[in-house]
Amino acid sequence: MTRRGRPALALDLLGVIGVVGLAVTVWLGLWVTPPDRFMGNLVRLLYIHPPVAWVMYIAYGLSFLASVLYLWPRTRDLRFDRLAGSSAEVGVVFTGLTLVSGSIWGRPTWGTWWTWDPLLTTTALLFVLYLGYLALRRVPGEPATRARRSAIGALVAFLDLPIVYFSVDWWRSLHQAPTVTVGRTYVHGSMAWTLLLGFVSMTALFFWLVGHRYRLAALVDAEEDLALSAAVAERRAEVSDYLPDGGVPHPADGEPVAVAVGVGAGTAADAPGTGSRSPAVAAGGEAGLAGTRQR
Amino acid sequence: MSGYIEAGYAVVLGSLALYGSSLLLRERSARRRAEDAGGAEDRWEPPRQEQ
Repeated sequence: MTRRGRPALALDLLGVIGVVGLAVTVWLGLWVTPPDRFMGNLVRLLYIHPPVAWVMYIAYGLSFLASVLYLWPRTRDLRFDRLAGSSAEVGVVFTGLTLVSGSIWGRPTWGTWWTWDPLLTTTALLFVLYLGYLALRRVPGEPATRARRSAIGALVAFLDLPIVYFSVDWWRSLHQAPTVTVGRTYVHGSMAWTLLLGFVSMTALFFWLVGHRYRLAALVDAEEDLALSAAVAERRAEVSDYLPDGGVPHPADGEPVAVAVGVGAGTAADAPGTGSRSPAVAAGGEAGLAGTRQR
Repeated sequence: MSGYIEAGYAVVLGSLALYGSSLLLRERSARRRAEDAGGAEDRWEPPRQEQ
């Protein structure tokens, strides 16, 4: 049996809260709460659509915060980059679901699947922006460079989020204003409690998903580090096979032979009897190996 | 009830279930590979990377 730490147990707990809470929300939303006076049964989509949209805000907010922490020199750590990427990916899933569930709700309510309403348009733009951010994260590069440009990309994409939120106030919108804001709500009784449960459950589910996405990214990173170490060791072994004397400069060109294979940091220097290596070639070897990293 | 309501719930819950399951499967697969490679234990953090 494997040892499980507190974070893993907390993650499991979040998963249980999310799944059980959603099950209860579905039961209350579909069979217990009353129909609305104006919308009839269509109001039941209220218990699923706004919570999904709410999580979209949390996801991009968390991604923004983690990106700022990565860019801030005193808190720079690749774990923040990993968290930003994980949160954004889950956010993209929730944004897609916000658009689809909103469209399904809009068809019977507005008579159309889609309209170029400010809120819908800016949300669709947000979806595309964060898809671009996820694509940017997959562009190969040295980890620190890739993390820096991803963090900048996250900050740029985040600019659209306040526009999405305030679009219903700034422009004449077909979409209604938020159902629940600080200190104000348009629903009451069992409808309000069901909606609240939907928000809590969906938030718990979001953190559970981000936790697992983060763990997956951490495992992939560790796996790539192992692969990199194995590749360097293999190159070292190859050099040793060719050079029983351990990399003494070739008599023909006077260059250390270990440099020619372009292995990573420390390889040439570690070889016994090796002279100094060209920094440019060494850097090229490191960049070439690091450039294979992708998440 | 309207078919739109069932469709909305099915799309949201089905997609989340699918995404969550795929994450768990990928994580389990990555963990198995890590254990095969170096006997990784169940831990939250991998070794910190140099920047």
